Amino acid sequence: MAPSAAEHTATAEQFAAPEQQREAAFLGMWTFLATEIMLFGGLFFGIAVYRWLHPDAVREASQHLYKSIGGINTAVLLASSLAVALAVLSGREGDRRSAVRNLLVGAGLGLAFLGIKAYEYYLDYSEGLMPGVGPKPFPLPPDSELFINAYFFATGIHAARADRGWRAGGPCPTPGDRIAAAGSAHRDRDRRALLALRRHRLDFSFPVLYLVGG
Amino acid sequence: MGDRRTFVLVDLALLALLAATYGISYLHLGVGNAVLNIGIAVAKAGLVVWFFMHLRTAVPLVRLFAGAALLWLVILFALGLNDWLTR
Repeated sequence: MAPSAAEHTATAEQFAAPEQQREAAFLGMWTFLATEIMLFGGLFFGIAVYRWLHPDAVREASQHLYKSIGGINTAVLLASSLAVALAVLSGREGDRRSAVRNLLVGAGLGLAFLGIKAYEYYLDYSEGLMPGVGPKPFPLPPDSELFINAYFFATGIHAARADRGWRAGGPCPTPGDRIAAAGSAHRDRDRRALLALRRHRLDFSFPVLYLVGG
Repeated sequence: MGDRRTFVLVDLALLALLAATYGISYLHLGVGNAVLNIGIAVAKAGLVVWFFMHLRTAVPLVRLFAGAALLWLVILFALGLNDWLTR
């Protein structure tokens, strides 16, 4: 029997059932997340060793970072995570309006995160902390420089990911339209759940970078 | 509605843990700071993957894949630090 239109949009042809498709998609996403954990694990391991080798330089450098801005931004990300999680829930229940509303809240908070991050980078830049550029020479002992570079590297990757993640409705120029369009079919619903999954990677840069000063 | 409540509670717990890490950074506990920070980070990661990343309702195979990532992370840190901490 030929599949009905609804079944057709629900499941790609290589899958026998929507559940199978969902499991395969989640498995794939977790495989990707595992590589991601390896990436950040290596980075954080490097920072740990560097802290072990140069405790005083790292402590001083860490105290130069804006702990309150980092903390607030982590809270913003947590709130945005909640909004996205609720959006996925609404999507699963078939409540499209609520899903779109929650996604927009999540996207707005994601943008707020990027704005705050840009402001923080600007303050760092003004102090001469950015490698290679800035109005002043590097203000800390030379041993601190690698730690500060690791800070820019880790938070930079994170900000780039957040930029991608705030468009949780799909890769498109107008997120609102795509989010609205994504509300209907099973397949899109799964895709949204997957992007949300990626979105929830927790920000560990806060304790690792801002609080190692102790 | 139960799921919604769970998500909100988990998010509040995460915010509380974040506030705790922030507060602890003003105490000077020596090595205790690092221990508490790592402990809180592990608790936060656990809450996020179990609830927000749906491992709670995932099939065993998906959980196994997530566990494999954790296993390799432990290998990375255990073998790596093994060198630095015993010199």
